[in-house]
This record gives sequence, structure tokens and C-alpha cells, in this order.
Amino acid sequence: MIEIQNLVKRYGDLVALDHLDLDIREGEIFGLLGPNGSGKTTAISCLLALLKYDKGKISVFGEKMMPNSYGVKKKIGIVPQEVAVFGELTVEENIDYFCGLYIKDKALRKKYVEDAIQFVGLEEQKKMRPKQLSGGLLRRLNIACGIVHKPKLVIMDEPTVAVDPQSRNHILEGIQKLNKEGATIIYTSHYMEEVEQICTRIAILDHGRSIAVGTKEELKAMIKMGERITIEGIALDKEHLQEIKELPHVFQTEYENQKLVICCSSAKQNLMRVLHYLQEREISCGKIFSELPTLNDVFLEITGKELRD
Amino acid sequence: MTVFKGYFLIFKRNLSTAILYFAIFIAIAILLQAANAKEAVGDFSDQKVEVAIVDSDKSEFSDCLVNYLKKIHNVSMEDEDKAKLSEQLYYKGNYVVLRIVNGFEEKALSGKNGILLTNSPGSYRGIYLEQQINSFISNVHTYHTAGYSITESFRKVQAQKESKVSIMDINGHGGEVPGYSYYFQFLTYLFICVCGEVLGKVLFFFRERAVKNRTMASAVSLLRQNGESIFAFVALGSLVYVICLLLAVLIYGKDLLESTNLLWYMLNSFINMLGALEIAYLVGMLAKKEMQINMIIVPVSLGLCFLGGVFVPLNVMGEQIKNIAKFLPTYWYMTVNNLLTDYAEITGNIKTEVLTCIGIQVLFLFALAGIVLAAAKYQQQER
Repeated sequence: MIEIQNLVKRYGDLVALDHLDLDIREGEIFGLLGPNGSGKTTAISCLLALLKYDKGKISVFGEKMMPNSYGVKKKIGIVPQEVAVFGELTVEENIDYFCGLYIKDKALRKKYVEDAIQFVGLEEQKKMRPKQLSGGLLRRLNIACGIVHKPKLVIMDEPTVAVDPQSRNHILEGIQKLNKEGATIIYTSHYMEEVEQICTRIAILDHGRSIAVGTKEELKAMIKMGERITIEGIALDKEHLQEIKELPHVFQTEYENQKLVICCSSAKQNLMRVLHYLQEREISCGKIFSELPTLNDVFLEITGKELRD
Repeated sequence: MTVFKGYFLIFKRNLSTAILYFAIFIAIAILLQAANAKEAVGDFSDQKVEVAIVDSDKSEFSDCLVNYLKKIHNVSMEDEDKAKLSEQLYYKGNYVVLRIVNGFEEKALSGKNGILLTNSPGSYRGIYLEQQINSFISNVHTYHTAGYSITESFRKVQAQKESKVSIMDINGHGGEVPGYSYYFQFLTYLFICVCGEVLGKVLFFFRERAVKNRTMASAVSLLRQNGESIFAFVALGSLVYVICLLLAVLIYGKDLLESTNLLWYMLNSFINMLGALEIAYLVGMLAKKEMQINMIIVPVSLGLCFLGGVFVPLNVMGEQIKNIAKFLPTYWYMTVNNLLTDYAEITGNIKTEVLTCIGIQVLFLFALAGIVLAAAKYQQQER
């Protein structure tokens, strides 16, 4: 559905997109994950032909994407990072205005506007001005303006920035609903939990490059870490620490302030083995918990830095 | 026509600002018209002076003079009581003491003046009265020299009809400035303020980065977006223009509608409105924040109007300032406005002058359009 090949975008000496390749399939919720400045928004802007790029090829719905590809643009809905609405118009008028850029038929537009208001749950606020809405409701309005014309492809650029948890859940549920109704979604975010929660496939971006692409399981399988076991309130000597390090599948340990972190490769009963060892040596401890790897671990292992950095 | 309609919708939401400017403008126009009307009445009214006459001559000629003065002033006959007369002079501002000295008739018939006038210090009324008396004595003397008796000469003078003065009414209002001239004078300020503050703001909202990106990513072509945007801008400007004209008709009614220069006023102000629109477009395009629009429009409108002769008449400006003002469209607008005020019929040389000034304003329009296009291109390249 969308093919981005060898895309290069420079701002002077700064390379914003460095030979980026992406292939997005119909029906996906495709996540673009990366820290701030990794090139997510630039990639979206190039995809929408809002920015000229230096090199590469972009095709959407099988057509080369150009600034005048209005036939293609008609099938795309955009939810930008900044709230792009008119402060002077009411919620309903804003949605109607942006719908009017795609749908000429007045009766159909009216229906679509009602659907969009219902979809984002702004029925009670439809006569309000954006200034009267909270941050979360404003984001919902931003989404409604982008999806009102029922596009086949919805591009959402960090739609949950500065949103309260309740609105965030509402937005994420809405995105999944849109996808179920047939829309392909491109979702950019630097919140890995959100991307993990809703995206069917994910591309991790760093310095304008796609460093890993796949489902979350595929991404996690790319790295050595299979499980992280954390034990708090444990007193260990060097000998015990060395013995734990030598346990099967353990490839890294960190011990500081009576807190032990054990990184294990993907294997069965890692936690049981650690517990058994502690029991045998009669080593007491406080809290023990085990975590599966996150996308942050994937990012950390590939780039050597935290996604949140 | 979504973009076009959007402009009208947002304009409607900012109507309160426009109404505020309209209200201030109309109040100023009406006040100026009222002030102008009072001034005109005062200029041509006759003034009666309180005259106390002490006639020591009591001759035929002095009687005639007293009768003459009684017809044109408030006269009271007094005895020579210095204390009383001084008191009256002190307390009454509008008071003149006229002493007709003994031997007045003899002097007057030989062409000399035999009266003494006393009035309050700094009062012009004594001079005014003296001129009238001198003229009367001179006229009676002339008739008397021609062989008429004093009483006959007095009757002849009385029978004289006042000379009828025909004033050449070049501007069609007896030299007065018609009220609507002030209206059109200040209209340029209203245009810059309303267009700049309201339409500039509307454009600013449409050009906000996020909204613009969303619109650019839509199915409406850039050409159509720009076309609708300019069309809406001109339509809204024309709407402001029509409202201003209707208000002028409401305020000045027949006086304006019967003006032979109405079409010239309309043409001049329409071109001025187009200039104000271009300024508004430029400001709306270049402003980075909403509040910057007001910060730009206030000094621009005041600067253009002060230097262009809207607030300060061009004829009181120094030559150097006038030379600078020639680089402003408002100067040429005001020059046309002044010519339309001064001449009821625009023909010959005056027509050429008016057309030249309007032509210069049109050139300013092209120059501003060039700046707008250059700024638009620069912004596009910046993206």
C-alpha cells in the first residue's frame, strides 16, 4: 500500500532521513517508533508530499506521491502532532470544515460529521469552541477532523502527546476500531507502550534510519534478552554473584544497593532456576519480579541507548 | 468553495472587532460633521453691540447717526456720567461708549470724524463700530456735497441697498467642507484597521502551520486553495466597502447622493480599500503570532494616516514631510479627497490631477502585490 524507498531528506548539514525504507501493508496499524528527532514527523511530511525530499521514492496506493496527487490525498486522513483546528469555530464547524475539503455533498457531509463526533465522543461538546476543551478532548477533535471523511489510510503523528490516561485509552481504542472498520493506520509515537499495545507491525527509527521492522514479537526475538529478573533487598557477596552469573541462560547481571538485575536469554524456567539457587544457598531477599523484554530493550540493544533518552 | 466559506465563517466570528472600529469611526465622523456645522454658522452671523451714546452735539447729523446706530445695534442714550460709564465698561464685555463731541456736525460735513469711542481693552467691537460710523459719515458727506440736506442725505444712505455679493461656489457647498468629505477622509484609517485587524487575523488562522499542513494534505488543490483564499479576501473587503458606503448614505443622505463627485469618491475609496486589503494580506502572512497582527497594524495605520494627511491636513505639513508622504498611498488618496472637496466638478486640469493621483495609487497596488507575491514565494521556499 505504501512504499518508501531509499528516502533522504536533509536540512542543510543535518540528515533528517537517511536512506529510509518502509513497506506498509493494507489493513495494518503500522507503528513508527523512535525518540524525538528520529525523523518520524519528517517521514510523514514527505509521505504526504508536504516536504520536498532530496532522494528516494514514495508510492501510495500504487501511485507515485506528488504534491498534486489529489486522487491519492482524497483517501488519506491526517492527524498532525499539533492540534490543527480553528479556535474561532465550534467543534462541529471545525469537523465540517475539514470534511468539506474532501466531501462536497452537503447531506453526506452532515452524516459524516455526526459519525465523527460520535466516534470521538464529543457529542456534548459539539457546540463548544476548542478553547473550552481540555487537552484530551482537543486531541479527540484533532482526530475527528482527520478521520471525518472516512479515509482508507489514516496517518497519526503522536496523537496522544500531553493527553490524560482516560483520553489516551479512548484514543487508542478508537484507533483499533478504525482499523477494524478497514482503515490502514500509520501511527507515530515515542511512547513504546502505546505502540506495543495497538500496532500490528512496528518500525524503529533512529537518526532518520529504520533500524528494525517487524511485529513486536519479531522485534523482541531479534535481541538476546528473553527475560529480566529483578530481586530487591538481597545481600550478596562476590562469590554468590559469580555463581549467579554462571547459571544457564544468564548473560548479564547488575548488582547495586542490594538490588540484583539478572538478564537471561529466552528460555524456560529462568526464574525457577534463580529461586532454586537462592533457596539452596539460604539467601534471603525481599521483592522478586520477572519482566519480558520491551521495545525499549530492543532499542537499547540495537542502538546502545534508551528510547527515552 | 470550502476555503471561501471558511473565511466568511471566521470573519463572522471576528465581527465584534470590526463593529468596534465602525462604531468609533462613525462617532468621529458625526462629531466632526457637527463641529463643522457650528463653525460655519458662527462665521457668517451678524453681531449686535451694546452702545452707550453720549450726544453732546445734539445736531441734525448726530441725530441721524444715533438713528442709524439704533437700527443695527442695541443703543442706550446716556448722560456724561464717567463713574457709571466706567462701571458699565468694566462689567459688560460687549459694551462700547460712543461720545459725540460738541461740533461733530461741522467736522463731519468737512469730512472729518468728531466722535470718541471707548471700549474694553482687547475688544474688537470698537473697531467694528468705528468702521460702520466712518462709512456712514462718509456716505452722508458725499450726498451732502452733492447738494442734499443732511436729512435727505441720511434717507439716501438708508435707502441704499446692500451690495449683493456673488461668491463663486467652486466646491458646491458655499466654501464649506461637506460632512461626507471628513467621512471619506477617515475611511482610509477604517479600511486599514478593519481589513488588517479582522481580515489579517482570518488569513493568519488559515496560515497557521498545523492548519495549513492539514489543508495542504487535503484533496483540494493548492491553486484552488489560493484562488478561494484571494477571492474570499476581496469579497470580504468589498463587503466592508459596501457597508461603509451604506453607512455614508445613512448619515449624509441626499447631500451625498446628490454630490456630483460621488462616483469619484467611490472610485478613490475602492482603490484605497484594495490597498488596505493588500496590507492586511501581507500582515496576515508574515505574522508569527496572533497578537503580532495588532502590533503591526496599529503603527502602520497611524503612520500611514498621520503622514498621509488623514489626521493632520496636508497644507500644514512641512515640505520635507510632504516629500516623504508622497511615498505613501494615503497621501495620494488624501490629495484626491481634497480635490473632490474643493471642486464640485472634476473637469479639465483637475480631472487630470485626480486621475494622476488615482493612477499613482494603482501603481502602489501593483507594488504591494509584488511584495505579497515575493513574501509568499519566500515562505514557500523556506518550507
